Parts: sequence; C-alpha cells; structure tokens
Amino acid sequence: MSLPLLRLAGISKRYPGVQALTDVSLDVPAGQLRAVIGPNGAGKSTLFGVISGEYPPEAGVVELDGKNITGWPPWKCVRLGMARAFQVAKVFPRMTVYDNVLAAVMARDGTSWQFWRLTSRVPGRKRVDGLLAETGLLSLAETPAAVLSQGDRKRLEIAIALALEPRLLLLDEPTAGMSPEETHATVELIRQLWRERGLTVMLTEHDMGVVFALAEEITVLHRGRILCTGSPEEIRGRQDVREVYLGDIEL
Amino acid sequence: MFLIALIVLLLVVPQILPRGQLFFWQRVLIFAVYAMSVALLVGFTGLISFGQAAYFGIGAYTIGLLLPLKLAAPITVVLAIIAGAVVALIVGAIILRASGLAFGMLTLAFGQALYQLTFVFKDITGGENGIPGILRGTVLGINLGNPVTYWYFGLFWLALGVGFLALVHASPFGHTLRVIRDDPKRAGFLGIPVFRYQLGSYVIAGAIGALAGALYALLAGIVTQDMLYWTLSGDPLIMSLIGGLRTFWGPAAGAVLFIWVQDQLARQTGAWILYQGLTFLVFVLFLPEGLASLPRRYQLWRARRQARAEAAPKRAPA
Repeated sequence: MSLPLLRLAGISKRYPGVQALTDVSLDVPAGQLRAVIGPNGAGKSTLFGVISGEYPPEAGVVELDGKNITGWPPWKCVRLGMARAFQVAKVFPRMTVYDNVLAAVMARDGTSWQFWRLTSRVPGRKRVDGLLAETGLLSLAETPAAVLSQGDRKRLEIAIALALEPRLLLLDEPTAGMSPEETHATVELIRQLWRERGLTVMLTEHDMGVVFALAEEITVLHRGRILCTGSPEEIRGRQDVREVYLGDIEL
Repeated sequence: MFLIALIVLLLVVPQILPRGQLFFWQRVLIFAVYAMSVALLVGFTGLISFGQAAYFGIGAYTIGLLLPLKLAAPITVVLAIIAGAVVALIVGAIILRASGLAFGMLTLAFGQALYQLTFVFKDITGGENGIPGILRGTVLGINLGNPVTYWYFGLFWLALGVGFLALVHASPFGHTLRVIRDDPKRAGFLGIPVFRYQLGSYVIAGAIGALAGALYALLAGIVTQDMLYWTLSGDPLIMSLIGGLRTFWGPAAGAVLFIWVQDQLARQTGAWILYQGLTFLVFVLFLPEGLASLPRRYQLWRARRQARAEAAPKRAPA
C-alpha cells in the first residue's frame, strides 16, 4: 500500500470558547475522491482551514505526500500541490474572470513576480482559455468577477483552483447556492476533472445527493470529532450517522 | 495618441512658456510622478500609506547632504533613488508585518520620526533652516542652472520613473499586485507570497518618491523640513483621489489640478486651504472615481441622450 497523499494525525484546533476539532486523524490515498460530511458546526470548514494552512492547529500533524506541512502558510501549501475552493466564493472582485484565472496561472508558472515583461505576452495565457472552456466560463471572460452569479462564482473558484494544477483539490461546498441544474452540471464537472486529471479530491457538502453521487469514501465529522469513515454504502447503513443528522436527512 | 501628444507638449513647453512659469510647471510634473508612485501603493496594491513624504524627503535630503561632495547631478539623483529604495526595503520589512490601519499608522509614525530627526541632527540637516544653496552644476558641458536645461534634465528622469511604473503596471508583477489589493488573504491561496509582493511595491514607491524629492530639491535650490512633513504625505493621496486612485494617469491629472488650484487660490486669498478643502470635498462627493472617469461618464451621458432621442419619435405617433 502506497503512502496516503494527505495524512492528518491527532489534529486539534480551538477557537476562543469552542473546541472546533478534537484529535482528528485521517488518511486520504492518492487519487481518491473523499467527502467530509457532518451537521453545521461539525468542523468541516475548520478542517479545510487546517489542511490548507489557514489555521495552524494546536496539536497534531498535517502531511502532504509524506512531508510535514503543519503550520505552513497557505502559499507554501499551494506550491507543494494543494488548491482550495472556498465555501463562500472568494474571487478577486475588481478583476475580470479572465484576469482572475490568469493570476492563478502565472502564480503556478512562477511568472507572477516578473516586472520586466508584459502580461499580454505571458506564455500561460493559452492555458487560461482552456480552463475557462473547461469550466464553462468562456463567455464571461471579460466580466468583472464582482457581478457574477453565485453559481458562476463557484465555477470561477474551481477554474482558479485547477489553474494551480494541484495534486490535492479541496472543495468546500462546491454546489452551495446553486440551482438544481447548476448543481448537476457541477457534479459532472467535478467527476470529469477528477477522472481526467488523476486528482485527489476532498470535498465537503451539505447536499447528500452530491455526496453520494461523487464520493468513493465518506468521513463523517460530528462536534469536531471523526464519527466514522467508510464507503457510501456503509455510511448509508449506519445508525449513528442517522442520529447525528437527527433523522432529518434521507440518506 | 494621447501619449505622443503629451510627450510633444512636454518637450516644447520650455520654448513656449515664459521662463518664470517653468518653475511652477516643473513642480507640477514632479508632484504628478510622486502622486503616481503613491497610487501604485494605495490604488494598486491596497497598502494605505500616510507616510510617503518620508521618501520624498529622503530624496531631497540625499541631495542636500551630498552637496559638500560636489558630485555630478545625475549621480546624486541615482544615489537618492538608491537611498529611497534601501530605506523602504528595511522599513517595509518591519512595518509590513502589520496590515490595514495599523500599517497606515506605522507609515505615519515613521514619516514623523524622520521629520523629528532633522531637528535632532541639526548640525548636518540645518534644522529649521534646511540646507540652502543647492547647486545643479554642469553635466557634460551643459549648465543645469539654466531653467530650460533643467526642465529637460528633470523630464528625462521623470520619464524613466513613469516608464518604469508603466512597465510594472503592465507586467505580471502589477497584475499580481492588483490581485493582492482585491483580497490579500485569498491571494495567499494562489501560492503567492503576499508579503514579498507588498514589499516590492513599497520599495518601488519609495524609490520613485525619492526621485521626485531629489528633483524637487534641485529645482528649488534648497532642502527644507516641509519636504518631510506629513502634509506632504497627504497631498499625493488627495491628488490621486481627485484624479482617480485606481487609474494609471489619474493621479497625475489630479496633481495638475491640485497644484494649479492651490496656486490660483493662494494668489487670491489667505484662506486658500479652506477653498482647497472644499474643492476636494466636491470631487469626493460628485466624482468619486476622479478625473479619469470623466471620459467614460461623458460617453454614458451621450449614449443616454441618444437613447432618449431615439425613443422620443416612437412615442409621438401613439
């Protein structure tokens, strides 16, 4: 068995007055599509924050491809092969869709800091068009990101993340705020990207339809602890998972 | 087109204008470039500095302090730029650990600290008297003491400064600065080491601010404490706001208007600061995106008028 791409061991994180994560350990093998679910406040976004370097944990170790990255700032984690799309889409509002993706492409290529050449002649521009086509944003290329719909903004998040050519892609509620049609298209997009690019994907999601349509394995978080990890069938059959969700979700 | 017209205009100005007015318009040009350097920081990197006068002053005092060495003017200007860049690198590396308002306050504190140092080291800075008697000397047989030759000397350096700023704006580095301005935290998730980029922008602004200060000291023939005073940090901010903070040429246009209005008002009344303030207020209230937004506003206004004109006849038959 090969090394897991992502390994968390004994992660604990607290905010003032709240223990957000307690002794969280999990392995995500390379190439897997893993979903993390749990009720509101279970610690899903905090977990993503810890993995991507946004919140350094009080205890525990984060390893990416066998390398200890605990406490690394986000930009270093990204350079090692991680990319994250946010729950509330955070794009660069005063820039166009194209310029948003271009910024990510240049960051990935390591050309961001070049001040002696023109942006209009950067070789990475070709890739931007490809990424916009792949995520269905080509017609919106010249639109300022600030005026995008929530769904388009989430797709721009994905395009930015893909521009970074990650090995590990973290998607925090990729379909939140989307219409059923948009949700369906996004599920297909994620599945396609995951297959074609050999990515390791980790996602959180409230929409159980999305989770069970995509995930190979599911980890259930409850009150900052891991309740269980298993295949969709196993998770579906577990009584304790139902109880966590107070039975208000049809699994 | 606009650029060519501007270059031609700037080249022929000394031939058209009476020599007495060259001083005024060269001052305008120097402040235009100073304002552009501040706008790189504030408008394009999202770092609100209240202390860029520190670099203007460093440039000016470098000229003043090097006076006894009798170096050629271009060398002193280059040394002034280097001084601005080096100080910005060191100071920026410290104060950029803070962000937002805290950063702004630190820039103000640093600027005022430098200002106070001119009192402490009165022996070399001249304290309240400043350093008078700055001579421009002769370069390659050309006497820079002549206002016309100095106009071209200044123009050369300012063109270099603006050219460099233009390159920065059009480069991947400038693109990345705008990304950082929009959301520095998110920029980190693109793998961008935000701090280094902010520092780079701060150093460029400091170097060009020092260039402006050096040229101004050579123009005025004296270095004074107000070249370090905090109001000189505020002026380029106001110029940028008047002209358009997030545009390339806006701050320069703002500088022209700002200094011209200041000059006209100062001739009329002792209360000119009041009227200058009111002018600024009018701009913030009625033209928040500055002079640079005027062409677009005009186009919108025309399009709307046209649309109304086309809609009107249709209504008539009904």
